[in-house]
Amino acid sequence: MSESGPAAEFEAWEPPSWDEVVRTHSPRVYRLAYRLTGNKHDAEDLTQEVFIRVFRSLANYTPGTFEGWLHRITTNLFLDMARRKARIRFEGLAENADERLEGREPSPAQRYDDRHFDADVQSALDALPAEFRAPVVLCDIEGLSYEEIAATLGVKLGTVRSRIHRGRAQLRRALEHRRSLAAAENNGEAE
Amino acid sequence: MNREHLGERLSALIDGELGPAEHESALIHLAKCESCRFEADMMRRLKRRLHGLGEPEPDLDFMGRLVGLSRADGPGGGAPRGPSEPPPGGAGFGARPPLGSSRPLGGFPGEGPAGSPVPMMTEETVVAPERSARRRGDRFSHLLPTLPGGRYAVAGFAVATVLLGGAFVAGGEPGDAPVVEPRLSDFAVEHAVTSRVIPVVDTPADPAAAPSGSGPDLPTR
Repeated sequence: MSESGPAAEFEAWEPPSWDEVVRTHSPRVYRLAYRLTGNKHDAEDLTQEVFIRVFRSLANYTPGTFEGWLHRITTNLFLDMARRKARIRFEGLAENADERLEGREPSPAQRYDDRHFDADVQSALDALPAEFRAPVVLCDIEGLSYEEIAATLGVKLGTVRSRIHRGRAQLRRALEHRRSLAAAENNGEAE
Repeated sequence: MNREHLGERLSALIDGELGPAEHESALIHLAKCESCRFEADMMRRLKRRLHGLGEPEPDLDFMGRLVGLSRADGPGGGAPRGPSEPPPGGAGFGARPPLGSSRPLGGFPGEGPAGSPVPMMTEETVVAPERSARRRGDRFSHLLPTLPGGRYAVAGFAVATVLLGGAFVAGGEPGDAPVVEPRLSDFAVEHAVTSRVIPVVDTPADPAAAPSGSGPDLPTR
């Protein structure tokens, strides 16, 4: 049997180097992380967490399935992070919290960049509960189908539909609210 | 039907996620319902706006840090492993507690002195306290020389302490472990079902159980 055709291509397939994996996938992961977290600082943390797991899973690298898996672990890690933050808010910070959190705050320059990057929409997204934000981002920004989102989040198709609808409704209200505030400010200045 | 607004079906309609029959009836409703038409228009605008958001790019500095993960997290540092090589520690994804599980996100993984990897939580690490407890028992056993069976009592007490302590450590804080589901190998199967594409490769369910001889000369995928 000759070694031509798909079998030969299969044999010739070279596993990607770590540099290639980072170059190929990190912009997409970072973009999703940025839209989910709403700022550069957390987006970098989240992306890094994802790539730690990618590195450990290189043995199972299969082109084609990797991208979907990245969506899923990015979203799962984000939801986990959001739950942790909510828990910290509820439990309150310990006495030495300032020391522990020091250095994790974005710099004023970073804050400025973060806020002026599609600021309105991003702010409205940030205001959404994480459970609504994730499906909206995956659908409207990442372009995933409902079925893919359901698989990513581990929820039913109907839940995805409901969360997207409610998430968008909240987004619209938030954007309208911001618009009316801006209009009121403008009117105040004009008078 | 016409009296009811579309509600969630409106989102599904905008996203092209309605079945043929539902799609048809939703369009019929839209033709008659001004309110739903307005909602649909607003939703399309919002979707366009979200889709049109800029694409933030990671910094070069940050990319460098990601590339450096292979040196920080890899076994002994150095070049990254090939896909057919076994994962670090000889175990697959999820086989050991994920780094950062007891720290907030952002803690740099495996960052030891001079980039040396932080030792993994292995069986040996868990057993270590028992050994040291026994050594402590030996060290203080001379304090109880007159008690019959005192040495055994101390040893028994130490073992009980270690077991209880071990149970505490093993229990840990289950709620703190980050979600790392699914394993990539599980996802590959699920992806095949979702996308209705049969995978060419039969990825082993347990990476740790994969044949160690499947090197570059024996491609498995």
